[in-house]
Amino acid sequence: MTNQSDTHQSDAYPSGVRKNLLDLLQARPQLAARFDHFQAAFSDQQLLPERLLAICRTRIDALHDLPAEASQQLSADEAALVSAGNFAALSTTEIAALTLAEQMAMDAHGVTAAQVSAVADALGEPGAVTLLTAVALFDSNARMQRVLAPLRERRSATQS
Amino acid sequence: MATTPRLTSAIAGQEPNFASVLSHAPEMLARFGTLYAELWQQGTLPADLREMTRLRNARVTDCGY
Repeated sequence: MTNQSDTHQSDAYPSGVRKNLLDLLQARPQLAARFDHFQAAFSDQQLLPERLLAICRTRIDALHDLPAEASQQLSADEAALVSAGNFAALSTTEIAALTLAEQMAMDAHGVTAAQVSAVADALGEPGAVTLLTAVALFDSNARMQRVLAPLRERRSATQS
Repeated sequence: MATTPRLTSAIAGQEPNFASVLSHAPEMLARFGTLYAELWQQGTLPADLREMTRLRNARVTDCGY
């Protein structure tokens, strides 16, 4: 059965890591569509600024040695600073979100109540829940990309 | 074991847990359920292999779920 959710295609993250991942998931198109639809909820709910999502995704990609995706929310200079861990120009809310995002990506067991409270105080609990989920997905996407990239390169070499 | 939520339940009368905390964002939770069902009910991998990898992942990440 195909419905709107099965065919949904978000343009929130138009290129780069996420597109590559979805390309790989096309071996299971229904799974790819539902994966895409789930990730699009981070934006569709309108509980978080798009810029905040882009900042967190950019930093997590950098922590995994992946290039930043193109984003309408960040200039190239801003993305470079965030990738490098330079948060001096960011707002208090953005820094709180990035601090939690970094902690989750590098040592999830080290997340503190204070880090979560800082995000919940700034974004409300619906926003905090969405951010935590989005960060978890950004991190897992980056890890999958690291694992799958050699497979894709090997496949391309075989086909050429 | 990392199973104690640091956010409240969004469902009156329910303890905070994975689902009740994610209910603060109900649309996201609904889409997660659809994705998770696809993974577990429509997968091409044998069910025992999926369950084994889930348990092993929980063990190595020290997750109580």
